[in-house]
Amino acid sequence: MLVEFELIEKARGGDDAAFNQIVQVYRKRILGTIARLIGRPEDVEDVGQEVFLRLYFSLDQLRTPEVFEPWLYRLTVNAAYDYLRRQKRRKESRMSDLSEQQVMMADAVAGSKQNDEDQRRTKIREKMESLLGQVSEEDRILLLLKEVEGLSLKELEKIYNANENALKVRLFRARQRVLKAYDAASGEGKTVEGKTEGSK
Amino acid sequence: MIRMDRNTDDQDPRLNSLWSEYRSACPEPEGSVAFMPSLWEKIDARRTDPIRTLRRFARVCVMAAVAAVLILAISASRLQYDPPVTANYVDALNAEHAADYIEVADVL
Repeated sequence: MLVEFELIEKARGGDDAAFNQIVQVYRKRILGTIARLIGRPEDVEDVGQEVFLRLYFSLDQLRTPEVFEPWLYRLTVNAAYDYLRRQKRRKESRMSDLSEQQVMMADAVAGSKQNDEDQRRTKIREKMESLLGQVSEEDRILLLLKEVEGLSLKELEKIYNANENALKVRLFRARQRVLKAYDAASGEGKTVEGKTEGSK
Repeated sequence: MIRMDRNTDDQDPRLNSLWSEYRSACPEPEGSVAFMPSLWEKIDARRTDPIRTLRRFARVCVMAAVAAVLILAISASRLQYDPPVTANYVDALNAEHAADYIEVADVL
């Protein structure tokens, strides 16, 4: 835990200064998680504020301070889901706003501004995001929380209110899909199933 | 059939390196200086939102109504368990002095 239980108790009791301190402590971590979950840097701050807003108005529902972090992660995941759902609805209209030529020109301008390191990072992100595109939104978020945010299965259990075995199965299947896409993209020609069969 | 590893952390090393590369390639936003002021603005706006206040009032009303129904239900059930009045005063007096009548009858 990054904060003392006492601070959480104070915030639950309506102490705004305590709440401020909590936000300061968790802000960077939560914004980083949101950035990876939604993949749109320009909207990270808005979604982050939504998470802390929900936290402020739901602190009285928190049973004990011990479950604060899973609670905060659950709020983060839910806010990310809501954002992605809204984006999905807007996507079509946004795409129709720009012609193909405009999109290409915007990409070219953005590309020329980036330095090599930025380009390498962008490439890695694009590659990973394309691989993660092979799994559902829910599994993508679950995989990111486990593999990128480094949350344990116990923590995920609390966030998702699901049993460990069910989460393991979901993670396993999602990883298999990502690996399959990875193999297909790198042209290895080996299927994941075949490899796993062979390792028996 | 696909075998699932007993320990899900034992995964493909290719994926492991991809995850770590991705982790380092992702930006770590700190949030702008306007983050906190803007957050408090939103909190204040929601605090004074009339719909929210109405919703809270409605919730209090519903809770009060539920409590009232519970209290009424409990008191109603208690009333049902009170012993019913089956005899009036004259019957009770009769029962009390039943023996006297028998004695009088015996004398007669």
